[in-house]
Amino acid sequence: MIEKIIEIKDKIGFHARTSSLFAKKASTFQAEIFIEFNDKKGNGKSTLSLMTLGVKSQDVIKICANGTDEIEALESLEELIKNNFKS
Amino acid sequence: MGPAFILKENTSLKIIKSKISSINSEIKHLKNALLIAQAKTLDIREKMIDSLSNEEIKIYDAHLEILKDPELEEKTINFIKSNSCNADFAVHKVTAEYTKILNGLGDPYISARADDIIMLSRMLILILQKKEENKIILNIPSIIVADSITTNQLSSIDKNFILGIVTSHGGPTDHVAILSKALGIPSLVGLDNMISKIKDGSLLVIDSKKAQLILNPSTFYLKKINLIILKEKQESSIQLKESHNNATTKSGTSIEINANIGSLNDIKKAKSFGADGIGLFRTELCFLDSEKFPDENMHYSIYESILKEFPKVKHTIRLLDFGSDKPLSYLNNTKEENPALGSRALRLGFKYYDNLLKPQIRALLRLSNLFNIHILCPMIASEEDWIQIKERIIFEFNQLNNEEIKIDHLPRIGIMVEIPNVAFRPEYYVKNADFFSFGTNDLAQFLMAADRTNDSVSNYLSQSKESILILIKNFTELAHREGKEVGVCGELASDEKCLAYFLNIKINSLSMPPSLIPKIKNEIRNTI
Repeated sequence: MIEKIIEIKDKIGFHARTSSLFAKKASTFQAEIFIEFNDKKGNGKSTLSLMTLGVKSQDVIKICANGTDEIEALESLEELIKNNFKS
Repeated sequence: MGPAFILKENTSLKIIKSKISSINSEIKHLKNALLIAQAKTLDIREKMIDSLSNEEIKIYDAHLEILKDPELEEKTINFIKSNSCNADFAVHKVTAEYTKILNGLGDPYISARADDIIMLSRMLILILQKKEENKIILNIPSIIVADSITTNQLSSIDKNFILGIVTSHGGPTDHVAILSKALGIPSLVGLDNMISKIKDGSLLVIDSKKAQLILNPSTFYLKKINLIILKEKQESSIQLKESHNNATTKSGTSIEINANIGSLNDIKKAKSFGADGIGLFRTELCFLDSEKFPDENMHYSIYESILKEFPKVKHTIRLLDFGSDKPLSYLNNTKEENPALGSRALRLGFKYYDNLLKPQIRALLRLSNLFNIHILCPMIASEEDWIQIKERIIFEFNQLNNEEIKIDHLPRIGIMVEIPNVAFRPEYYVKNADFFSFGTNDLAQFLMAADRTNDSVSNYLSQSKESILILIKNFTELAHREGKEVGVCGELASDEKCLAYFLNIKINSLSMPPSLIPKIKNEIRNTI
């Protein structure tokens, strides 16, 4: 398993649209993806789960990936966040 | 205006926890219900696709996504397993948990999604209990009055029977509010207690302009309202019907009537008001809220999302015209005494070339493979200015092709004629640029030495009309000899008194705010 800590730069954070984009991207990988934030753990492939975390702009989250394509998954999700969810 | 139709509370749901014989068959029921709900949502989406824009159709995509959410399914299955209970009870409990958390975040956008979950949960429970939602049947066109109404309920009613919607709950970011707006249905949401005073069948008036609901209006008020409605209806129906045709005078002179835009909303209006194309896209308006220099992909995605609303027409896109009058956090520009005469538009663009102009030019070139893009260069003051920008665009074009991002052909590149030094001497430019657009607002302020943002001198501007018309005429004659098109995109373009003159000198196009197009087209058709 690998993990990475990253800051959300998007103006609003994990709201409906960004959660959905993240979950969609995460779902393209075989690896399990989890987000840790404020002692809560969310399923990275679930829009609902991501929304319930309440991640706001400038918040720092931890992304964990576990599976054969975990490196690619983490890189690609990191890029998505860095590009403010514009793929 | 219309009679109230009080929407009754829906079929009340009885969700009782009961022991079940087989966990596996309950899980099967759940999976099946999720698939049925997805199919129903897809069905509604198809039904609405013609009346909504891409943005609004996304509401249904969001519903689908919730229904396909892996965690929702997993949690519900786990609930069934650990409680050995019925699937509808599990759905109820799990979705209630989600909505509680989402509402607790205190974010209006997220709360609106919580409402979606409540609606979808209801849908799933009804499917599991083999029940149907009460059908809303309107016999006469009515104003729907309800505590709240879901997007699915709204989608199930014949739109021709909905005169308006008023609800006691909800806010402007609700999906229902967004949908009704998109469908052109007047709506007032979040009226609270007022709703309880309305009786079924009583007459209501929604005044959208004032955002007011009038209960039991007086006869005098009704007469007044009726006259206004009638007049507006007549005018707008005639305008809309005709505005989608070309504007041709009685003697057969045609002229393109284009729209000035700066946003997604503007281009939607341009399309619905019958513009022939986009005559001026003020790109800087897309980035006023931006916190950093927009990069190439940002330019690309914003323009793409706007242009695809009205794809098959000519798009004249002006390069960024920022100046020191628009304070931008990422531009470290010093305050200038006269921003209109200062470091703005391409002057600023070249100062920050790599961060400002280059990404925009590259994005526009890439988009030219998909759309009929014409690049319009603002604030050209001299031959030197023109050579510099044209060479840069050609350079970026070659660069992209070297990077194997194949650009089919170089788009047409034109000049915004707004500085007198160019307007007076068309000879050089008509040979070297592909098209011209007169920006009469800036041209007027430069000709009259009167700041157009300064109220105490702006009365001078209108007095430049004669001179500007002469400049346009001379320029157009020479441009036409070279086979180049000339348009007008400032305020003069929608000045009815100038129309005959423009037609006479065979101006190729006029560009104006979308809402003025039907009137101007109508005027042209009535010209000999």
